[in-house]
Amino acid sequence: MAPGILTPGIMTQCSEIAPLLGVFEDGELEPHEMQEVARHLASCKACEETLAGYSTLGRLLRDAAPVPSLDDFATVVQARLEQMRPPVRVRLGRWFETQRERFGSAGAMAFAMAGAAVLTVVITSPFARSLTDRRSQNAQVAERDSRAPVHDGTKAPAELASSTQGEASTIISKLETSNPDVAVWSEPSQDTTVIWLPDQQH
Amino acid sequence: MNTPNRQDGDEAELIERAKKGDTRAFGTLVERYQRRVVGVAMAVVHNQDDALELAQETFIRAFANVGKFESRSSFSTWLYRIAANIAIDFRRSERRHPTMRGEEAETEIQRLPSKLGDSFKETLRGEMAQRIRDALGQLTPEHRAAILLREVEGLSYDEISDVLQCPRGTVMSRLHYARNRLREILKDFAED
Repeated sequence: MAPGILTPGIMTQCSEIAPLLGVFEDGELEPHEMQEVARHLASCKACEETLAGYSTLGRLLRDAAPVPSLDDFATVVQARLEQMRPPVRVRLGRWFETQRERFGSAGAMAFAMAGAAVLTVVITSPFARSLTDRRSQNAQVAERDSRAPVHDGTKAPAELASSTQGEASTIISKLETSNPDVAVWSEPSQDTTVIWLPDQQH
Repeated sequence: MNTPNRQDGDEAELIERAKKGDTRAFGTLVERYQRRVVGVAMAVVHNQDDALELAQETFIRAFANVGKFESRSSFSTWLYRIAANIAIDFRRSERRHPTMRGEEAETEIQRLPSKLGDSFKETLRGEMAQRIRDALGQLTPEHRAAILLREVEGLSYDEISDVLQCPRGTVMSRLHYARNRLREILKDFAED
């Protein structure tokens, strides 16, 4: 049931009006429906009595409604509000306000700028840079490792040797054997010869 | 009873101050809406002590969340919705029987404003109040909340719809049913 079900100018029956009487009493009908219900009520004793009954019921409910004592309600709520910790946003705002009151707008601005300057110095300090560089190196190594093929023991030594070329720890300048089971290479700059043998457990 | 509509400059300023953490400003809003918030809670839980406690919680929660309040809706409706939600949650968790406890009902009858000194009328009034409470206890919580929010608290259909979070058409049908049911139960009183 919703307002707007009555057609203006059409004679209405009690069955159509009955669901709207309470809404009429509450003044929540559309203007043309208010008129229609009022017109019906003028000529219908039964609906008029129902409406009067609704009105009496409302009065009874209001008369019987308990009236709670609110004497100290606001005081108790106020005390609880005072104990509440304000949100960070409010606390930060208050701090800036305090600084502004203490040192004026320029002082508060100076505080903010000093804070920004300290933050900049910390970020650009050698220590922070070394941290950043170290992280960068680690990231590069991790990236290189992720791109390097994984040796699963099935590759031939020559293939392995060529795949690891370029790494700082294993610079292979020359392979000295064509035997796929043994790799021999030398590092002339370090006077080192490396002999690689497959895993003996296999 | 008319619904207070005080979304004026004064109220807007109080809300803005409350958003900045001003508890005194919010306290003014508490004083302004305390009776109605208790009434909304009362309409849902049908118990005065619980309603007072839930109304306190309503204001505490409202203050904690006042930063989220946007002026698109009225502050009072926003507050009543919080009160109704808290009361509905409470009712669900407690699963209490909606009728008032006898002892408490007696106390409340004694608190009714007395205009008549006549003891016979006084008794009649107390008896009537008790019968009305019993009748309300026979309604479902949804129907009872709708009729009390309308008749006692004076909320509009749109406000009831907002507070109870149901369509306006549902509010109308609940009111229609509640009125007819109460008239049936209170036939002899309602026809006096």
